[in-house]
Amino acid sequence: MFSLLKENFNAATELSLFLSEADGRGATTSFIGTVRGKEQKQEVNALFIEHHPVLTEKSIREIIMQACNRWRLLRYLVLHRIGTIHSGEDIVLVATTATHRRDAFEAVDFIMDYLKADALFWKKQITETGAEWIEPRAQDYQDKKRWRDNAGY
Amino acid sequence: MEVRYFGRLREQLNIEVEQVSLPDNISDASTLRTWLASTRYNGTCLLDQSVRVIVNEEIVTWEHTVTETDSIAFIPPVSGG
Repeated sequence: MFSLLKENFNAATELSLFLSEADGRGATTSFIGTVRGKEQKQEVNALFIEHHPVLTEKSIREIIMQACNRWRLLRYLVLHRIGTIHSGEDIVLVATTATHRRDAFEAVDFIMDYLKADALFWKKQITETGAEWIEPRAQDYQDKKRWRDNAGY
Repeated sequence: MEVRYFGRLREQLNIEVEQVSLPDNISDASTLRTWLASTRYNGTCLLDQSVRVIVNEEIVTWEHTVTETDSIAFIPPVSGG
């Protein structure tokens, strides 16, 4: 399942529900991304995530499809916030189940790397002293590239 | 033609969406960008190398043909996850 969410979500509840519906699993991996309260010694009040009304969802569905084609997954869960997300709130939850752990681990790692590099979001960090748009870092592209370098992994 | 701007471009131009009458000499995304950059306040932000263009909900190259009925969007680099 995949959803873009305008409101805060409870990651523990969502994971619990996901697990209750994931029969036959041998392995489960999950990742939760949270708005940090501090960034380079600055207090962060919130993140604002802007999205495209059509292409954001399409870009994420394509990423999930790539993961499903590459690893043997039984189920997946991808939840991503949009709009204003306050410090301490969760931004993203990615979880997968598989028969074996390697598939579950790598699929979550892959989905997160591709979300960072390819999903159509624009992030603005709001601190006590102002606000600034966050541009992708070189590391984000490197993280994505390693999946192409390890295509036969 | 409807033209939308996302992220920092929306803020730099102070425009979220605008209706544009396409001049006769503009036929592709590249010339549209150059024209908008020269006619909008702070328009040079559109000329940044990292900016990409969406035509009718598909990311396309700058050579892509544009017409009066198209829906266009200019986007800065994405930063998701």
